[in-house]
Amino acid sequence: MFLLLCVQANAQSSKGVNSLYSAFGIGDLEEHDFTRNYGLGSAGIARPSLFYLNELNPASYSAIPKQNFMFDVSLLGRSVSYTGANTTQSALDGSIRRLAVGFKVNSRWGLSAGLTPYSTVDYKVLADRYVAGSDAAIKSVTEGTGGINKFYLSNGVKITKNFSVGISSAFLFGPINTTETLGSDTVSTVDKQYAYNLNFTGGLQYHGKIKDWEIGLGATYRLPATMRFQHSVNVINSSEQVLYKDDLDTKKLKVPEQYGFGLSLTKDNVTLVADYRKQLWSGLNSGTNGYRLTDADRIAGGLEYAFRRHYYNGTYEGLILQAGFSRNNSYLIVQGNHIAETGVTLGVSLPNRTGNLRYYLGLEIGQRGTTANNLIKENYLNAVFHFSLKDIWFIRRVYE
Amino acid sequence: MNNTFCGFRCARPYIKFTVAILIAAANSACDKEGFDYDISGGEQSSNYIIADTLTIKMQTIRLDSIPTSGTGVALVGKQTDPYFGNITAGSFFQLQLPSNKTLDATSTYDYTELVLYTNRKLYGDSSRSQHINVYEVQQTIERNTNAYYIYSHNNFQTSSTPLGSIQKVVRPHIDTVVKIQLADTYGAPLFKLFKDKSTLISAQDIFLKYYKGLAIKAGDNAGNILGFNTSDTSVILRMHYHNKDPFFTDRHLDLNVYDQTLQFNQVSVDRSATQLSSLSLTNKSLLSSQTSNLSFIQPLTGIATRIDLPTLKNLASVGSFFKVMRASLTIQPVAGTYQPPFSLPPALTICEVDKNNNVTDTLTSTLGGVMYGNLFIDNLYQEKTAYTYDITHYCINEIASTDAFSRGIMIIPPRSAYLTSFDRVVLGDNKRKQNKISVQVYYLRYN
Repeated sequence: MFLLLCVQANAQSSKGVNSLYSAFGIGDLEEHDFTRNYGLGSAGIARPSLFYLNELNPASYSAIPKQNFMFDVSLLGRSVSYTGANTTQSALDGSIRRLAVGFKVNSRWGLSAGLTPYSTVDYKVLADRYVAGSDAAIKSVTEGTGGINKFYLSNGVKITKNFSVGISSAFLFGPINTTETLGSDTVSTVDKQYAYNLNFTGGLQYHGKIKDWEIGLGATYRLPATMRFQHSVNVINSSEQVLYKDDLDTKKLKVPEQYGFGLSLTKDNVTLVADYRKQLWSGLNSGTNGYRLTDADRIAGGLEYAFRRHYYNGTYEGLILQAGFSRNNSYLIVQGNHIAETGVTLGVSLPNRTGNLRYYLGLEIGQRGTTANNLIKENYLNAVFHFSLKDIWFIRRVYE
Repeated sequence: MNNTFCGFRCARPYIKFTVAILIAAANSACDKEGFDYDISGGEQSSNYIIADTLTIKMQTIRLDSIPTSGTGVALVGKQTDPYFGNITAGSFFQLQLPSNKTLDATSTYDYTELVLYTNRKLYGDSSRSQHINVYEVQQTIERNTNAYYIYSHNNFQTSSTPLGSIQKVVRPHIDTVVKIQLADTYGAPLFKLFKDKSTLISAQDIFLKYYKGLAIKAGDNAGNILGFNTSDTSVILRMHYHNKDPFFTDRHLDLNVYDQTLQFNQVSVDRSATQLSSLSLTNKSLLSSQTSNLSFIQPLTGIATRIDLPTLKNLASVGSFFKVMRASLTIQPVAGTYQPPFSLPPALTICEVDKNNNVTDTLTSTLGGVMYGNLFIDNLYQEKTAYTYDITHYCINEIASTDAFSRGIMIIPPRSAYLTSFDRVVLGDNKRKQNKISVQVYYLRYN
C-alpha cells in the first residue's frame, strides 16, 4: 500500500520536466542506478550488496550481511535546461526513484524486493496542424505522462566461496497516456496505454583476491520478453467526462535481451569500477517515419575512495568519495539522430553516528540529445539523495 | 529493544528530505511551456479538421409582413437606393385630447401647426430637401382582426389634399424640430369644438370617431427618409390662440399622439430597377447566384438573408466519433455599398428559421449570450469589414437534427433596430473574391 502511494506520488510529482525524447518508444528508459552506484556513473555490475542493495546484478544479494535488514530510499532532484532551435526553457523536478528492502534468508541466500521506475514519460510538445486545402494553422498540444514501473523480487545465492548467482523477477507495469488538445478547445483525445510484462534477469558474480587486489567480476543477462499494452482512446471534455471511448487491440512491444559485464578492482581504500551494457532493440519493433529503435549500449565507470576500518565481524565504512562518468547511447534514433547521453558524476556518503543509517549524495552533470532537426538538447544537474538503513534483525528471536 | 530497531526515529531524515523534494516538485508542477515539435509522424488516430469549404447556400428572402406599429418612431420620406429600390415611407397616428382643454371666452384662434422632433436619423443624403405632406386620416386606424400589430403594408384612407406641407433641407443633427403649418380649414373648426365645449371633445372615444388621426407622407420632392420620435409629447398638433389680454400672449392648445401602439409606419418599395425585382408574394427567395453573388438585408422593406449549410451533415457521416469543437460564421458587407449616406446596422443577429422562414429561435454563443456580430469596419479599404458569429451550437444541433427540424440561419438586425431604421447590408457570397461569407467548422474526428 505504501509502495503504491509512492508510485502515485511519483507519477504526480514529475511535472516540471519536459523530456521530448520520452515521447518515443516507451519513454525514457531509466539507465541510471539510484543507489551508491550513482556517483560511479551508475556502474556496479560487479559489486556486492554489502552496504546497499545493488539491483544492477541480482547475484550481489548473496553478500547482504547476516542478520541484517536493509532498507533503501532514493530521491532525485533534477534541474534541466533545454535548448532548441528557437527555445530555451528550464525545469525543476523532484521524485522518489527507488524503494527497496533486502535481507539475508540464510548464510548463502540474500533476498531483495523493490520498486523503481523502468521508464518515464513526461513531455509537452506543440505542433501546427494543417488541414489539406487550408493554410490556417492550429496549435495542437500533445502531453505525455506516465511511465512504466518496475517491481522486482531478486534472489542471490552464494555457490562457492567466490561465485554467486542470482535471478531477478521483475513485474513491469504502468500507464503511458498521451493527451492531445487543439487550440483552446475543451475536448481532448487521450490515448491510454497500460503496460504489463514479466521480465527475468540472471546474474553472476565472482569475487576473489589476487595479491593485494580484490577483484570483482559480474555478468548479467536479461531475457527477451514481450510487453503488452492495454490500449484505448478516450475523447474527454474539460471536466474529464468521457465523451467517446474506443477499446483497441492489445499492443505488443518486444523488449529485447540485455547483457552486461562489470569489473571492480579494489586495493586498500580505492575501488575502480567499470560496466558495459547492451540492449538489442534493433529491428525488433517497427519504427515510424519519425523515429526508430536501435541497439542501446552504455559504458560507465568510476573511482571510489573509502575510509574503512576492519573489525572482527566485518568492515566498517566511514566517509566515501566517488567520481565517475557514463556514456549512454539510447535505444532511440529520432530523424536520423542517435540520442545519446553523457554524464560526469560525483558522490559522497557518510554514515550516521550509530552506523545504522548511511546518507548518500550523488551529483551528475550531463547532457543529452541534440539541437539538430528541431530537437532539444538537455543540460541537466541531477542530485540523488540515497538513504540506506541497515539494522540487525532476527536477533530478538535468539533471546526470546 | 529500541536500539535494535530504531523505527521512525531513524526515518525522520527520510521524511524531511521527502517533504523537501515533494515541495520542490509541487513548485515545479506549473504548466510546462512545451516545445515546438511534431511527434505525431502523421499517424494520430484522431484528427482535428477544419472544414472551411462547406457549401453555403445563401439567399435573399422576402419577409411576409413587417409589423411597424408601436415602435415610437415615425418614418417619412423617399429614398432611391441602388440595391433596394425606390422606398417611400409615411406614418399614421391618432390624436389625444389635452388634459386641460378649457378656453377663455375671449380666446381667439390664430393658426395650427404640427410640431415634430427628429430622432436624428436619416436614410439618404442629408443635403437633399425633405418634402412632408400632412393628411387627415378618414378611416379608423385599427389592427386587423386577430392581429397584434399594424403592418408596413397596411393602409388607411386619408384626405386627398394635404392639410399642410413643408419642403426644406432638414439636417437632423441640427434641425431637431420640424414645424408644418396646417390649413385653417382643419384647425379652426377643431378649435371651435374646444371653445364651444362640444360633446365631441368630452371623451377620447367620441373625439376619435370624428377626428381619426393624421398621416405624414412623403411629398413628390422628398429626397431622403427622416425619423421622428412619437413617444410622449414629441408629436404635437399645436393650435395657437390668444386671449383678450393687456399684452398679447401667444397661447396654445396641444394634442399629442393618442395610442402609441396604433402609430405605425407605412413602407412601400418599388424594386423593379434592382436585382431584387423578381421577388414577389409567390417568389419569396433569390439565390445569391441569381443576384451577382450578393445577398441583401433591409427588413423594413421586407428583405433579409438566409443561409443554409446543406453539406454540414456529411461531415459527420465518416468516422466513428465526430464532434464539432467550434464553428464560426463571418459575413462581409461588400465594399462600396455602405459609404455615406448609407450605413451598416451596428448590430446584426442570427436566428434559426424553419423552411418557411419563420424564426424559431435566436442563436446564442457558446457562452449563452445573444450575438450582435461584433461589427468591425475597415474604413480604409473596406476589405475586412465583417460581422462574426459563433455558430457552434447551431452546427451541433443541425448535425443531430432530423429533416423536419433542420433549420437555416436568418441574418437580421435586432428587432427594435430594424423596425425603426433603414440601415441595410449588402453581403457577398462565397463565390466572390473579396468580401465573402465564410463558415469555419473545427471538428474532431476519430476514425
